[in-house]
Amino acid sequence: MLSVIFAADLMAVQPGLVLWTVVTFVVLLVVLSKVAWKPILHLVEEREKTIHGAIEGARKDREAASALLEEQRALLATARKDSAEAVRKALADAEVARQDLVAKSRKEAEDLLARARQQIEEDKAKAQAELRGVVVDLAIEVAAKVLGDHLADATRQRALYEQYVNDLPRERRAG
Amino acid sequence: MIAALVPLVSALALGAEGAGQPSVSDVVFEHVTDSRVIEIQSPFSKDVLLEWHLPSWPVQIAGHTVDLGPTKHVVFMWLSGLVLILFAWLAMRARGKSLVPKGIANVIEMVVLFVRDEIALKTMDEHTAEAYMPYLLTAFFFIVFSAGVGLFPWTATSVGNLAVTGTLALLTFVLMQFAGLSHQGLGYFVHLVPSGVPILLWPLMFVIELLGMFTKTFALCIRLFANMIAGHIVIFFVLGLIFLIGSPLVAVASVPFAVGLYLLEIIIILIQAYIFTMLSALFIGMSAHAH
Amino acid sequence: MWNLALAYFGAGIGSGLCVIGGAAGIGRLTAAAMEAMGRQPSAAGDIRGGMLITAAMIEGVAFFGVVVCLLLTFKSA
Repeated sequence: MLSVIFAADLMAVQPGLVLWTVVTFVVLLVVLSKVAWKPILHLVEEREKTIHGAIEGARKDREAASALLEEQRALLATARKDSAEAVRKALADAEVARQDLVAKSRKEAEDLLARARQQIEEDKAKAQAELRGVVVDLAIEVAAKVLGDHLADATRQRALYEQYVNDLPRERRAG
Repeated sequence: MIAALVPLVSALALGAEGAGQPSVSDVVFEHVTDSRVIEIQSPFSKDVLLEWHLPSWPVQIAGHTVDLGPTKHVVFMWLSGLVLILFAWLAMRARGKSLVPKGIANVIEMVVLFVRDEIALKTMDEHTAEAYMPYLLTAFFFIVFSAGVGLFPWTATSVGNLAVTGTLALLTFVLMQFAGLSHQGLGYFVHLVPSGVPILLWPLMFVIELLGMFTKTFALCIRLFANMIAGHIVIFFVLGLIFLIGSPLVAVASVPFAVGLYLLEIIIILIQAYIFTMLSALFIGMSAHAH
Repeated sequence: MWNLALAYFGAGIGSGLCVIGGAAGIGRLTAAAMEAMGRQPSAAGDIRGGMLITAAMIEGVAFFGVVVCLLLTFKSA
């Protein structure tokens, strides 16, 4: 039974083969480590490092860009606020100036009015005084004409009329 | 169907020896076992185109005579090793120093990355993984190439030999012990038993774990051997059915079936290389880190 | 001859039983793994790795049995 002999061979372990396997495997291990595994693993690591670096760099760039953008935005907002402030201040100043001007002009107008009124008052007083004198003289004259020299002492009579006029009620005088 | 099976079964059981004609099982086992002869047979006749008798080198080692002469499997193991080195060299030459792989360098780099990320880094820490990567990669490619060479006509599958798979498993065993001793010192043997085991059970668990170490290695060896050889035997027997039954009509069924099995073999080679590497990494990692 | 036949018989039946056991184990394992992958497609890679390793373990045990049966045939010859 040849096949059984072959089959028994199938399960046999020859020491020579074990030795040759060890030798072949170790030679392959050494040669392939030098030729392939070390360089490939090295290159793979390097590539991973490169990719990692690139990703990291991109992330950093993006962060920097967004920080810059934020800064610009803040700057813009400040500028906008400043200009608004300036406009508001200018408006306030203008308002103050206007009110000052208005107040001043109103005061001047009032002064002018007051002065005019005073002048009128003075003129009126003067005119009244003059009128009073004329009235007294007229009255004396009329009285002298009526009485006809009855009144010798003119000066004494004049004093008398003046007192009469002065004793007139005040309201009537003012009106 | 039954009638067709009867001659097959009787032929398999009894070897069907008649008039010096080798039976189908003889032919099959002759193809998968190691021998001192490499012969290239004509595909169209029974002529042997080339017959190469390998030399025998008996050496005396410790009182035993060990034949160090290369056998069929040794020769094809060397061939696969040369093909592997050539492949790696061509890949590296195509690539140069560029960070981006091209051509066949893509294939080799994909496998290297797979072994690193899916096998080594999942079973060990980064530092240990770096140290054992060359072994894992060499084991993976050695299995793939020596089994791959065996898929071509007139060749033999060197990794379908118990001595070869046993040696691979032995190397893993040696690395397991080395990893354990170099990472944990003599505490490695104490940590063989998982922590939390009651003190009374400790001696029993220690013996079980110690035995487990050897069975793991043995399973590693047997699994690879059986997977590598089973496909070949089944393909040969499926084709052998034509001669066992003696009708060319059987070829209509058995040849497509054999082609399907052949394609399945390619997948099995890759899966078994992955499993051997994965389990080696797992065992080495388990020895290196106390659990 | 009777003993030889018995040995071959035992080896054949035994290897068949081993294959049944291994196939049942791997079948259950794969069913569970596929279901898990369906539930959690994001963890498919890890599940596949674990599935392959465990399948290899089961297969290893089945092969032990087959090897024992094989040895039985060689011894009986």
